[in-house]
Amino acid sequence: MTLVPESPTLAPPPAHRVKGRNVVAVASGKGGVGKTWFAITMTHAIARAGRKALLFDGDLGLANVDIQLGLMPKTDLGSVVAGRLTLNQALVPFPSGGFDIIAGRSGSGTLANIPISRLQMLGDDLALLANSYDKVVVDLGAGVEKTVRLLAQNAGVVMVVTTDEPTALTDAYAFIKVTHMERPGTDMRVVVNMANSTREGERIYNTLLKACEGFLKISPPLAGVIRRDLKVRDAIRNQTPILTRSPNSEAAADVEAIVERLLKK
Amino acid sequence: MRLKSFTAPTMAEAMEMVRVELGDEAIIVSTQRAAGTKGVRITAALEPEDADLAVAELLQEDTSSAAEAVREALAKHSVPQRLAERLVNAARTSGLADPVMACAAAFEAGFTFAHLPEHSAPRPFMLVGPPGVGKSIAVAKLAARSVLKQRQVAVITCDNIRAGATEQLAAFTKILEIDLVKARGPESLRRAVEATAGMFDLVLIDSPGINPFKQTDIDFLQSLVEAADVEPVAVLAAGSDPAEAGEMAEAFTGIGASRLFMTRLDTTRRLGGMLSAAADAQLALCDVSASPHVASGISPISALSLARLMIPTPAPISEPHWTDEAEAS
Repeated sequence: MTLVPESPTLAPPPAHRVKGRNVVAVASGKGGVGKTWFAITMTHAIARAGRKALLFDGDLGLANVDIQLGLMPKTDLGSVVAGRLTLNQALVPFPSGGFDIIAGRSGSGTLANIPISRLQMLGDDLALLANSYDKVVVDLGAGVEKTVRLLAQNAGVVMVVTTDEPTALTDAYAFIKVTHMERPGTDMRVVVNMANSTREGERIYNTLLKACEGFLKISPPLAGVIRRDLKVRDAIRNQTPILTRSPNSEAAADVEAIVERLLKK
Repeated sequence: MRLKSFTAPTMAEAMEMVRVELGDEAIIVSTQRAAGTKGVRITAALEPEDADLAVAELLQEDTSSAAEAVREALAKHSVPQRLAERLVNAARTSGLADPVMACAAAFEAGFTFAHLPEHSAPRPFMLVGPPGVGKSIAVAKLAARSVLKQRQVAVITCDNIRAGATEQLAAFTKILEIDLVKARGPESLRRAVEATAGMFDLVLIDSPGINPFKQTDIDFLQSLVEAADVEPVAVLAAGSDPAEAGEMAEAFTGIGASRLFMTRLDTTRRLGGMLSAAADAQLALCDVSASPHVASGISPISALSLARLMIPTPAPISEPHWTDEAEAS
């Protein structure tokens, strides 16, 4: 019998339980990589696959899901934060896409300075609301601020969107690093957008993967590559979802393939 | 992370450029044929040494100061408002930037720490407490600790109330090759303690679990303490309600206890109850038990070790949590 003088420890902390298992957050680090477009198209593809889907505009600083879809929602997140509406009352159906939307703002100004406690409540409400959907897609803001991280932490899967630009790659890496440090074990997957070819996209993913493996010792898998497609710009300009305007385009097919893999699990 | 691309006629030359500009720490994240030429293009990444620090600072941004980190930790441990306020103030006036050190300074100012001696003590110790907090195991652990230091230890039990209590302690003392002395009531305890005089380095006494809120129980315990002139040590299980623990501890202070022995740390996530007991009853924190095994899990507690329990340092980044999780799912 030996007496080992160990330092005492308390009971281990409870395992982090993701509140919204079926919530998919879309993050990017850098802005302008097609995050919002991807979130919309992904939600649309989920709906087209016969699932009940909700798109939540969590880009509190610069919400623009409604603009990309040409909507003029009467209700939005601003009213929810102000306490005038509950989260489910702020739902807006988007019949042509077959999914529901919670818009970020409609003239109520920025929500970027929402208190953290209020945001936590919003995240809890969203997790609750998510129970009545098959999938909920959250379009996060760019960057790694507390507000972005908090919404990401409520998600079962975080899709990190990047392009081949070095700044997009380093910012995607920064997002992955911060999320991993704050909550190890977060299920992050990489989406390479605007790739010249699938092969080129995979090469870009490998660049990010090597950095993650080398510095963070983690290997976020590739969710998919979306090829550069002029039809995307065309659809955004017309404020119409690409799966409505150009359902047979390469970019649309690429997103549908990502969704197919997401739903298979 | 810094990302930089290098183009050169050969791989070796490109690699040399990476080494010269970014150093040996850089990793190659991509190699390809350079567009339009016969050369190669290497992309290398470098993580500056202070990068982890910068991220840690970013994650800490909400807790602007050490005092705020202490406040957060105390709230997480359900430390009652007034006690928390006092400790946060002490943490703030300490002027220490590290949350753990500031917390330790606050504990140093707000509590007393007095370990139970391992080698010898002039007065016997009697472990007292409500039923089921682990008094007998604590006695066994303290005895084992001193026996392993080659000390002569006497163990006496007054617990003839609970069925099997004596047998349980006897199982431990048998392994330690100590004769377990049984005492029935104050007079019997006095004789048993007198019999140990001059022969043992340490005398440990187990007592029956009593109801601290029942005067007859407290009176009985007091008669034991007075009859044999022993030092009562309050034993409380961590994780109890702060107000309850505080009032219980006060009841034991009433019969002369001046130290608090905390048990069941390993099945507890919040220490508010124990801090509140020590503060309300002015008890010194002595040792803690954090394991059901007699041979391990007893440790003296200090302001710093308590602060480390309250504010755990984050796990190092190098741990590959993520891949483990992915394989499991």
